[in-house]
Amino acid sequence: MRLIDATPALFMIALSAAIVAGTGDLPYWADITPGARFFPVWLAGTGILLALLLLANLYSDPAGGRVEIPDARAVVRVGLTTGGMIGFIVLTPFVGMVLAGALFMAFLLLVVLRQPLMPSLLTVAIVALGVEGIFVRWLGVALPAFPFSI
Amino acid sequence: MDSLNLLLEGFATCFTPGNLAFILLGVLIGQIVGALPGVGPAAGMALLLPLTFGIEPVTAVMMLAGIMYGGQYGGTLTSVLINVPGEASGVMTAVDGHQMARAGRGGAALSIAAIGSFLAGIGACLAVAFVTPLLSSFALRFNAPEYFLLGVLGLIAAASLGSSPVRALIAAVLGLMIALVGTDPVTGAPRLTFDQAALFEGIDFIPVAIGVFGIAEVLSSLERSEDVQPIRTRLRDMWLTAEEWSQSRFAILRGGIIGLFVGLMPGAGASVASMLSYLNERKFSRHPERFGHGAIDGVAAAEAANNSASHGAIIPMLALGIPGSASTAVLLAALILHGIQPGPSLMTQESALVWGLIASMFVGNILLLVINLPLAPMFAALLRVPYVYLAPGILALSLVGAYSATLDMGTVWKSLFFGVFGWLMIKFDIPRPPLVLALVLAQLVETSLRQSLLLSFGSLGIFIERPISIVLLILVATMIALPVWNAIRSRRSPSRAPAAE
Amino acid sequence: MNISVNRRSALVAGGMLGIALCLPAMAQDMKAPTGPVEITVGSGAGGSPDVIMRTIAKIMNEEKIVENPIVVQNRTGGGHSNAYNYVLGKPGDENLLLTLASPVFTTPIVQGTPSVIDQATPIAGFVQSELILLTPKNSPYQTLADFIKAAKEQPGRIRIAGGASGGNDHLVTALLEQKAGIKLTYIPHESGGAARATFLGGNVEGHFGTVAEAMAVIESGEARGLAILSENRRAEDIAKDVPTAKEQGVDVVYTQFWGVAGPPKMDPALAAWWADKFKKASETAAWKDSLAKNMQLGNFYGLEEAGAYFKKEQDTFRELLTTVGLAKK
Repeated sequence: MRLIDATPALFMIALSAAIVAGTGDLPYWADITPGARFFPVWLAGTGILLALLLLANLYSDPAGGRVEIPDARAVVRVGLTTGGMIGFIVLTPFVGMVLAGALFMAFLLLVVLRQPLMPSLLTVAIVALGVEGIFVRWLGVALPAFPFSI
Repeated sequence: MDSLNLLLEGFATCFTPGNLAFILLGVLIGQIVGALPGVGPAAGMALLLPLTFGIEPVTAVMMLAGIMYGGQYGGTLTSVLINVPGEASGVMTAVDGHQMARAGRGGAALSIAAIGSFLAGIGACLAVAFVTPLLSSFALRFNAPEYFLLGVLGLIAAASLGSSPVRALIAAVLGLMIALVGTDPVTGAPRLTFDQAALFEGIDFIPVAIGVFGIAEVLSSLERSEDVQPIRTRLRDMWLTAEEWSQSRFAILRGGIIGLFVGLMPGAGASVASMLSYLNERKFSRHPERFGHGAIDGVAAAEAANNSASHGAIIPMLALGIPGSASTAVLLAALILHGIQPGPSLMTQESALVWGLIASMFVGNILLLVINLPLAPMFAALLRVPYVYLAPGILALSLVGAYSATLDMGTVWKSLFFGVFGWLMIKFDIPRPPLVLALVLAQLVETSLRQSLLLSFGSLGIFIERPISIVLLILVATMIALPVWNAIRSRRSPSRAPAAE
Repeated sequence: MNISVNRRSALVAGGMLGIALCLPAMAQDMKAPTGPVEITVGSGAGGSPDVIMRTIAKIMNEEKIVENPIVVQNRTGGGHSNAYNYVLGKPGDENLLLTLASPVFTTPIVQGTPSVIDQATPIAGFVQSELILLTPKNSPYQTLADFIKAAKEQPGRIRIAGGASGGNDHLVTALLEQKAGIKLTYIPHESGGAARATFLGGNVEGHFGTVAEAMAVIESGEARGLAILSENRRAEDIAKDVPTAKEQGVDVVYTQFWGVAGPPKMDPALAAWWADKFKKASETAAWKDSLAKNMQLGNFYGLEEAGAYFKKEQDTFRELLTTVGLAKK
């Protein structure tokens, strides 16, 4: 049994412990009914039990839950894509949501996925115009707009 | 028959060019907003509510109802094609529908979804037209104890998804744990909110679903996008085969009936309906192992159930003035804005409006079938676009959709967080649907249990004193006992080591 | 005849005098916004605050009281805190209004964050809704006295189904317990609709409804109205038989209310302009019609008056939330 295969079980145990600790100030029982802590405690107990079951399964049959570790390139890509999405959220208040989305898509296509320029820009334009047209113009959703009105 | 005459009058109201145009407009809008992640029919109706101010109340209600059930058809598109359920009721469709799309059978999945939704929708319309008073009194016999047991049934359904029961249960427990965050539903005390205003009302379904389905799916595919071939779909693979139809017929019938009954209960709704109907189909299927790997009867049952549930939710609204779902709440608001007071006397005092609405639902469902059947293969053909060009669009749409749901950046952050979390779940082979379904059911399970015990002053007897509750209790017991019994029987064969529980 | 004509002309004259007196002062102090205006609502579409704001916004635009297009946006979540934090975060914004509903007052008290109304610019309170205590049709309680007697005999055995914990239904239950010296079992639900289903299912002894909701179930014979928690009975024929709690010796008066406020540091001239527009809109036939249909009250409070009114309500909320143990110290 490798440590990485046991991660879900260990995470579950940690989370259960955190829930028990985090609800410490709430009542377990309130007069005649379960209180705010009743469900969390039982849930944490179930979580720990399931985690132990999973560990037992892994122990008896190590091949059963073998995690495929992604290679470095995959991790870099996922990391860059996530970073791009963070960039989108951070940029939105400054440049508006539609433009931030366009920049994010361009970043993803050109930098992360290394696609040719023209089809990428075409994709960006179609999605950005679609979002602007459907969400903003038609449905009237108040997406953060470009702050410097033209 | 009185109802029949009233229904015919309703059709007469419907068949004016203006009203027909608005019904068509409504179902088209529903189709589009249902397909947008984060928007969904209820939000779409709210956004378009002001557009109805200038028109007749009956026309407005027809159009808005069109958005409501049109949204159920539209939601199928994203669930099947890109594995992003626009709302909770689409999760079960995504489970098998997306597997079908990956196997090049997206067109068939969309077709059976449209046919299933249509048949169940028409069946539910008939129920609304002829047995509303009966069904609404049934709905009132469903209260906290019944909801609790219904929620438990749903959890059992959720836990039966995935490669192993332990992993599915872990996912379900994770979903319930996410639902713990927020204001305690009974005492109102903050629970696990860490004094963050953003967590005060808990973590909503929408950012979680957008994250663990939409964003996680794309992240996982992008790891090695050059290996992701565009899904090869030949046009003749797009249509439904006779065999698939015969597999799905009774799934649609059963799904439609379950959907109607669950939908008319104000506390449950389309998501619970599709879950239970899927579970039911799987239990009684001759090939349960195919569920989760592209079983067309799973898609048919889930879609039939969620559409008939969204129609069924109209019953308590019309008969009692109690909205059965988020969408019917908006419909009620529309009535009030148009100067009509909902309540138990609505059906008699506004009979022209009520029957016009019921008739319009027949018309709208026919329109939706006519729109969706030919379009199903065309939408499925969208997957021929190379994935690297679809992926950025899906991500951008997911993030924008998350923002639209609450107009708050916090929701976008949550979606992103759950996106990465969902990616890790894929890596560690923890199935994602049970998590999302458990999140939806948590309220039903926890709140209803505590409400039940408040109602009975702490006595567990409340679960066996009520007739419907007993039936559900027996169902729950059977559902739990069967797998355990099977496990014990297989354990008796000494081939396995005792540690392999 | 003569008398009534005289009275009417006197009224008209009085009104004109009032306008004449106000006009010079107000004309100086009013400033109109430019461009579209957003009214932020913290509830989802279909909730009472949402319906009220959409109704009045529709009247303002349709009757050309306000020329700027008004958009109602639902910034839901966090017990209205998404909505009020959005507005509090835009001090001085000229195109933004906040809908005031009870969560805007209660959420900060429960969370222990600074009060919203102390920071925002009060503009108007223009609609209120009275509550009626209902009991199922087959319940043995004919009057509020019966109900209270039963609660005194068996403390905690009388059950009330209501909306979310800390919401209006919960607080009015606490107020009733306090004033009548009784103990009730409050059963919270995720929405008022869910609570009504529990009530109509015959599971509980009591439930609070707005007058319109209550009359709908009283008329259909599903329930009896025990008391209206108001100073006066309703004037409508169908509702005038429901006695006030005060008449029955229990001094419980509790009205839900809704209003609007501007962002912090709003230009007083702009606030005055909005107060004037809300006043005008609330005097239209369309609004009066909506009030009559929804059986709501249309008492109008503007600017400082509204500020004082909201502060008083805030104190009531704080007191009741402290009683039920939800106020954060």
